[in-house]
Parts: sequence; structure tokens; C-alpha cells
Amino acid sequence: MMNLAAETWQIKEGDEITFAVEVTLFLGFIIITILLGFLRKRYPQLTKNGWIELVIGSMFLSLKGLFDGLDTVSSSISEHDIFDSFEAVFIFVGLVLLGVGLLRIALFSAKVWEVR
Amino acid sequence: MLKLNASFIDHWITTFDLQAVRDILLESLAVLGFLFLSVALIIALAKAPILLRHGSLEILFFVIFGFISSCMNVFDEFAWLGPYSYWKLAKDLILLGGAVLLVIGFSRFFWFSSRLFGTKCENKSDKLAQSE
Repeated sequence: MMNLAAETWQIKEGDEITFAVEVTLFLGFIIITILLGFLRKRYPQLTKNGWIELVIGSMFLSLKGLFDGLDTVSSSISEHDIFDSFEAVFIFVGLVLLGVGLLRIALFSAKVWEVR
Repeated sequence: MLKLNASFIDHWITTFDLQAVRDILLESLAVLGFLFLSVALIIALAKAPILLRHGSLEILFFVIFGFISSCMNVFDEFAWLGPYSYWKLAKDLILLGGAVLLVIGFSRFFWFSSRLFGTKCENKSDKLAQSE
């Protein structure tokens, strides 16, 4: 049990592994964001279009993991509902941004390929 | 089937209050998001088939895994599951597997694209071009 921001957070019995996986999910999407940063540095031309959508999208997906973890350890139902709503909105916006980014990268790559 | 029903699904939820409907709508957003991503991926593959050949399979599996995970999320709004912790763990593990595949997919796509354009690292080639 821990006290944070005057709230009591507790990992319920049997939820330890679930919470660990949710935190891993949060860290996993952070790693994707960092990896995208490296790719930007390495391939500035290829990542000119669509990269920013991919980065913001993966950040939103990592926030989904964070709120997923928070709703597992939240103590009250009202908190659980708020975190659940955040999680749903962040995953939706994150996925839409990922799709738009992917499309823009593909269209840009096709254009570069035609020019070459 | 009946045995599985008895052990896994405690009971079906048949009455929905406003809160339950709101939850179902919110959880369905992720399903819509993955559907949008799959359409975007299909269009991207049609527009740039050579470029997206490397890495597209991993991104496709991320979409499939994510879709399964979000459908499981919606399903548990309609059924009261006995071992809910395991169900939640399974949902998260499937999505995590998808996220790992997404990392591999993006890396392969950019690595192949750079090889196709004859640049191992664009910064180096840009510097070379400038010096020439």
C-alpha cells in the first residue's frame, strides 16, 4: 500500500502480475517513442512526413498503459471510472495518430521512390 | 462448451445502466481505432507496396493483436467473468506482444527504406554530399 497525492493506492491480491504488465506496456510505448527519436536522427529525410504523428501517437498509447495501471491500483470506483475513460480516449487518439502517421510516411516514401 | 461457460463466465450481463452504456461506448473506441489503423495500413500497403513490405507484417500483427485485446475489453462489459485477473492479464499480454512487434516493424521498415535509397545513415551521406 502506498500514499501518493493524499490518495491510497493498493495492488490487490492477484493483480500484481497484471499491474507489472501494464507498467511494462507503458514503458514499452515509451521505448517506441525513444526509438522513433533515434530513427528521426538517423533518417531525417525519410522521417520528414508522418513522424510527428507517430511520436505523439506512441506517447498517447504509453499514457493508455499508465492509466491502465492506475485503474488497477485505484481504491475508489469514481477514480477507476476516470482512469478508465482516460485510457479509452488516449488509446483511440493514439491509434488514429499512428494510422495517419503511417499513411503519410507511405505516401511520402512512394513519392520519393517515384522521383528516384 | 457448457462446462467452459459454467467455469469461465459467471453470468451474462443483461441489464445496462447509463454508466455501463458509457463504458461500452468508451471501450468500443479502441476497436474503432484498430479498425481505422487496419484501413490506413491497407491503403499504405497499396500506395507503397515495396517500401512497406519490410515491417508491414509486424505492424499488421500489432493491429490484429490490438484488435483482439480491445474486443476482449468490450466482451467483459457483457459477461461477468469468474477469473477476471487472468482475463485482464491476458488482454494486457496480447497488447504487449503487439507493442513489441510494432517496435520490430518500425525498425525493419526504416532500415529497409534506408538500404533501398542507398544510404546506410542519411546524416553521413548528407555530409558527404555537402563536402563534394
